[in-house]
Amino acid sequence: MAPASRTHLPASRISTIMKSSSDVETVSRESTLLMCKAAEFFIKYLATESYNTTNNGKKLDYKNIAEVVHKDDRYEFLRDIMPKKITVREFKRIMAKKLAEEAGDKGSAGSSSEDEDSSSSSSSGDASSSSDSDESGASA
Amino acid sequence: MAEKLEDLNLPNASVQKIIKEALPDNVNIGKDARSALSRAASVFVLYITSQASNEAQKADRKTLTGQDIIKALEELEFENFIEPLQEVLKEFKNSKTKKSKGSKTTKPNEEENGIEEGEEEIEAEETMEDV
Repeated sequence: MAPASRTHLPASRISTIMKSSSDVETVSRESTLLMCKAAEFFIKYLATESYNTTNNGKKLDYKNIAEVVHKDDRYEFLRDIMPKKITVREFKRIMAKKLAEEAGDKGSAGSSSEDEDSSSSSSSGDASSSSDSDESGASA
Repeated sequence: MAEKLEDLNLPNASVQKIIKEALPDNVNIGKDARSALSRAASVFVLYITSQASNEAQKADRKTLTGQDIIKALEELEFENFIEPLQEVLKEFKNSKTKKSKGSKTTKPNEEENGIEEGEEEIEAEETMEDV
């Protein structure tokens, strides 16, 4: 990058973004140029940091960036637009755990209650509570 | 002004080029990674602009200056960008004085930015009028 002022990003676009901020009236050309360059540094910096968190260094993924954003407090302003992603498998695991905990609270008669469910549940909302009471009656 | 929402996005090709420059060769850049970095950069610009405009307001100015941007970066813990940006600022000021003397610089790299610079000049004039 021989002359320092050479930028990849279009100055007109950067200036549009800057002016879209409600509390800005006018931006000087000088500030636009600096912002162009700053945005470029920012992309490079965040990309490099994220790249350093990859396992084999072959591919840069969304999750690498999200990881850095959620670790470094300087990037706090990005956390809303960059939620951490989880896989469907993780989601299922979390849900299964949650269900298991709920079931654990109420008692543990798994297989027999299922049979009762299928026979008695036409109204699905009440089904679980009624089968619960059945279980407690049976075990008592 | 921004008429469409896309006007606030940065061009994909430029972002891709910047990322490629920063990373070693033959690294794959996921599409979602690129768009995330692109969005992040847009938000970064707004974030810095907002802080910079605070600086300008403190000084009772209506136009953002380069110094406001630098101050904002400092406040928001991006000090490591400041030093290279000072270079840019210096170069910009140099080219401005050269232009006012009427001698146009003919560095090869600046020719590529020719079209953009034309646009910027119009903007700068508008800014002057507004003030």
